[in-house]
Amino acid sequence: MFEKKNIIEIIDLDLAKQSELILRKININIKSSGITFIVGPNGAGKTQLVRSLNGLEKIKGSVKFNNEELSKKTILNQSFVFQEPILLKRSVLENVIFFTKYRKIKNYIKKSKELLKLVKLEKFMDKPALTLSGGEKQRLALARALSTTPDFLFLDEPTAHLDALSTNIIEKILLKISKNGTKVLFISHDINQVKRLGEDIIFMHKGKVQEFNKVKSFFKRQKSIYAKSFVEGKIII
Amino acid sequence: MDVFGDAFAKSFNLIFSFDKDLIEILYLSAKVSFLSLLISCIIGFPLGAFLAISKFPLRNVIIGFLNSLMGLPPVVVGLIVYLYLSRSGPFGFLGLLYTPTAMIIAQSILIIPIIGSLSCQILEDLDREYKDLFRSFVVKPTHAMSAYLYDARYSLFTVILAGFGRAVSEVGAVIIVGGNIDHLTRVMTTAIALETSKGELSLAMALGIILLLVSLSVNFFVVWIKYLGKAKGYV
Repeated sequence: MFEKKNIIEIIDLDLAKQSELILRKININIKSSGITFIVGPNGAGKTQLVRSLNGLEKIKGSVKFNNEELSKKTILNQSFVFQEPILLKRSVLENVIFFTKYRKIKNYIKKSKELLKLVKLEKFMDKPALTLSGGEKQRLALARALSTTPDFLFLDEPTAHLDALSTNIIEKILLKISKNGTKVLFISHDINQVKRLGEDIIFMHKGKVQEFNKVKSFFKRQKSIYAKSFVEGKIII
Repeated sequence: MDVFGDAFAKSFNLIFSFDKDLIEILYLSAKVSFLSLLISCIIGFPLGAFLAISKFPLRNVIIGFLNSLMGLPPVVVGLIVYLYLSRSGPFGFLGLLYTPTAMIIAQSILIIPIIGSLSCQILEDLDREYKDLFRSFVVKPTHAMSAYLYDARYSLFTVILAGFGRAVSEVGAVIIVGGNIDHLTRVMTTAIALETSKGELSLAMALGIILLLVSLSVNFFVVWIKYLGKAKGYV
């Protein structure tokens, strides 16, 4: 079913900001194909974790992608879809072309157009990206993230506040690319979405990984009291 | 009121009679201002972009220094350029003193800090917006710099306007290094200064009105470009 496996190995990862420890001793080995969800209450460190994996934060410890230490080379095989889409002040098509051209992708204009078709934005190619709706912006950000055919794709709540149509388009694409071998790490607060799409789940609380399990097993029985409270919708302190 | 009425009449007369001397002064003013502005943009924009996206130990000191250079007294710049270009100066052999080239050099020195500093501020804001995206895509700083300059193009027109304002209104430096020589280095501002000192207030006013019209036209053009950018959704 899956073409290839992309592995992420995190060893003793610490992240400190303004002398505060944001992430503490993270140790995970993500070997599974499919979509891995990262869940947890606000301030748990989910965003900081994926930012660290994408080289956007200065970390202590080790992160390996397919046995290669985190470096510019490994980041070239990654893409990040931010919670608030960062769009260039250009047209929709130019937003994709900038990166496909920069990465010297063959037939970059054709490829960029195909990606826009994939996220159903082909009608808006010449429209300024900043005039798109929230959902359209996020779909554009996803198209751009896919433009480099990454082995690892990180998404920080990409479907938060989106309508059903945009969410559905994004989810379908994520399922498809994960089946094609891209390892997807997805931050979400939507429990149903996790159940719908997830292969495994990382539950975080106060900068620590409390649980890392298969989605089905996680929702059957939670090992930590925090995870149990989170699933039951209780406030976690 | 006579002076104003007379000045308006004289200015319209000068404009519509296509006065040869006036056209010569206008042409030289435009040439000196635009060339110094062009040179300043070529140096100032990359400098501003570099400072906006780079992180190195003395960066803030350099930005602070550049900001303070925006208020450089033109006469001091004129004097320094004069000393360098005068016969006894290190570049005296070039024979540039009292030529339009000397005026362009002096004006460029005055405008580069304005272009560099203001563009740095605009591009710093853009850097805060784009930084994570570009780092995530491992975009090289030189490529990022050109992307920043392109994406901030509508805002940077205001910077160009500020530089043009300085260039077109400048008198202190150009009168020192240019010498206000008729048919050679006489520009609008130096001509106004000369006519005023001669008591030819009407002619000075006429030149002033033309200078104001030029300045206003450029302002409106820039405002229109910015409006265009907003209307298109690129700002």
